[in-house]
Amino acid sequence: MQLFTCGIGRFVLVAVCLCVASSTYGHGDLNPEPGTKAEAAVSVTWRDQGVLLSNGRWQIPGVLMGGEAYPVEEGISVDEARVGVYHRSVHDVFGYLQVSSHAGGQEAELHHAFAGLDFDVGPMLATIVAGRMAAAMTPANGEHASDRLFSETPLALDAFLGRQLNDEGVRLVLSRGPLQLGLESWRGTAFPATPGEGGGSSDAYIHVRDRHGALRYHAGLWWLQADAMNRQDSRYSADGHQHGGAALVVAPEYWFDGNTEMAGAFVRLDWQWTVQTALNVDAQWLQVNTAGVLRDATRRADLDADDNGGWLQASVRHGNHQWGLRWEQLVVENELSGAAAEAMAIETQLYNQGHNPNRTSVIYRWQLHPDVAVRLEAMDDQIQSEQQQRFAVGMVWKAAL
Amino acid sequence: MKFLSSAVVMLSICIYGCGSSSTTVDDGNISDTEFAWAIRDGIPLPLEPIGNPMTEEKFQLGRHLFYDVRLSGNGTQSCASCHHQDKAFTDGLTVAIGSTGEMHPRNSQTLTNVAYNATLTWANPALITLEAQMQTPLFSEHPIEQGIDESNQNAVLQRIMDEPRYAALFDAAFPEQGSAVNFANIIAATGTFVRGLTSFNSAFDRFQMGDAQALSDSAKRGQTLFFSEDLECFHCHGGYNFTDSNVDRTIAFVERPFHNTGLYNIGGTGDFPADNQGLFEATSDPSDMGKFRAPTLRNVELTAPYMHDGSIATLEQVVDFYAAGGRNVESGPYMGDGRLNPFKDSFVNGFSINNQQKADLIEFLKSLTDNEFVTSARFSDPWN
Repeated sequence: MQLFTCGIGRFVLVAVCLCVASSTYGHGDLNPEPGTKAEAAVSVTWRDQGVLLSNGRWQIPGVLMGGEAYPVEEGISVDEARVGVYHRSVHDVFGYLQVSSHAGGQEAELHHAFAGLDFDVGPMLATIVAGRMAAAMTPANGEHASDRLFSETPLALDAFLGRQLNDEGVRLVLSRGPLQLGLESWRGTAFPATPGEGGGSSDAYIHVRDRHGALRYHAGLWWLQADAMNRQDSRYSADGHQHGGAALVVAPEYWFDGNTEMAGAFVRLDWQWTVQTALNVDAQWLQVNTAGVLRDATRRADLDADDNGGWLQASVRHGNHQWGLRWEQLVVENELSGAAAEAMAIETQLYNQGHNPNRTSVIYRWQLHPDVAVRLEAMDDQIQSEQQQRFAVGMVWKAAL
Repeated sequence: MKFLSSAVVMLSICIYGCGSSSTTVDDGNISDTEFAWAIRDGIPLPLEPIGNPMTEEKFQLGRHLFYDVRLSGNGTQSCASCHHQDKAFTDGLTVAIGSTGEMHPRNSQTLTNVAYNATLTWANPALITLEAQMQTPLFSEHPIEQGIDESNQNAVLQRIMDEPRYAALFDAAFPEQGSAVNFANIIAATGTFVRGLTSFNSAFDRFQMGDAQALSDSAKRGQTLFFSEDLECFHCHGGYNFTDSNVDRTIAFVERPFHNTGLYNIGGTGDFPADNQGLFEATSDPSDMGKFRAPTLRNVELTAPYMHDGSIATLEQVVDFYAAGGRNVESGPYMGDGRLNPFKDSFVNGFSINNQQKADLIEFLKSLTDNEFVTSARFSDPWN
């Protein structure tokens, strides 16, 4: 009992409990009720084409990419498979463990492993969480193919957050009513930061989440800063993740030292029009400033980039059927200076003159069963200057265990 | 509700109304030059020595000197004697032969894009300018190349002054000097000509510039092999000049690498023939034994025989050599298995390659041939 009176002791106990658990819990809100719950999800999609590649790599023109922003591939692929477990004690201690495989990855990995504690601070509820987890500054960052309406990750997240900011860190959240203030600090193992000296990242956010009659909403503003030293695009390195055939690609060797500052805003609306029909809107905007030095073995150039990106998504749900539209766009503005500016712009594929990478997607989703959905998607992909139409048929299974 | 719909509209405007993507580049005017470099887009300009800036007049004077046998002790040999334009400025011999008939221990190197070499000659880390390097062929005594020494240097200068064409050429190249015919100016002018020998108009270059038909299917397959981690070629022969010993105006950190490819391993000790030990001759560091600069592969089709001592006759044999991970000399004074040389470069590991792949790889190497370079009147012998 004495162990439970000590915050650190609670963390240790929960961590030990979680280590013997064998399944996972899904993304989204953590259950406030004491107990243990498990969830699993699988998203499988067949696509008639993979995304257009540049020299075998997926490169959004004008963007320094990294993290786990892998291209979707032709044929059948497992977008995501995960299993996890969540436990909350009567003492408001909770923990979460998730093993998953993403983006066509062949190996499962420990994706989430964190423990937390809720406690009161005056009129506010405070939550402190530590471990490996997805950053919470925008809910979109924590979602995977099984959680989203569309199977493909929003373009802005692939471009600016390496698909998902999932790192080892600490989160402090203060909540009062519909308002939530969050502060997060990260080791920097996730793009766009690097770990160790000169690295690391942190973010802050304020969210408001409530409902007025038939309208539920979730909106927020957030800010992120990330420091990087010797950052490489690790997606295709032989000693990194082995996603599909990606490791066979010879990636250009260049490094980035510098700082990334990101600001974001989002609004999510869910209007239950009738018992059977609901309208959903999701609007997200990210503004990114990247400042630092690009270098390879022999050359260097200063980089100052101001990028914008985001998406608008609207859908109508009627019974078990849902129709949706998503439009996404990036606008990149890169300034490189120094003797090797042009050479580095070419090498890093930061050259982008007048092309705003964009993608428009439409979807029909049919919830066949409470745990199973089928989705048909069509994408008009103008991420590269070349246009591509892509079709996809997929299935999502997601269930509490 | 009004606030939320306003927020959605504002975010929509933010996403849609951010203008157009752009990339601006400020290279600090490093591309400024008064010389007409024949270099395609995307290739940075070479460095120009502060003390010897490129001018067309010096280039033309240097061209005359380069091809002039007067510029040798006995009046029989010019720079061009060992650097033939049709062979991408090599001579086709196993090793070079000097003006007195003395054999040079090394194979004549191509002058293709020599302006980009981080070091000059096969294995001298101290030679980083053409002007410094040219002292060797002009004045060296062992081996004798052009054979100019104290006993004949005045006669050499007199021969040049006696050629009527030179007066105007020297005056144009060095207008502020009264008596311009001296070895400093000869070196400056010849260095200018050699520095101007640029070659970026091969089929590979045209392919790089967007002509998808410039490379045959076989060459494209060969290109994939060349840049693969299986064959490792590109590690030492990468970049726009197909060598890792490269310097240009964009480079901040100059690397001057040398490599032991496992050509010899005399007695199993890592030794190389006594007159040809590479970087070791300059540093005396045992681990530098047998290390040589990776030459450019541009125009490699025309520069046989290969290796620093010209000991491999054909490109096919070169591929076989690298596929084997070195050379096993089974008999004679150089006997030893180069594949086991303890100082061999880690990228020379050997690889499997079938006949079709070998043909494809060689087809790619041949796509680096710049026919304009080897026929251009601008680089040709002005005395003919």
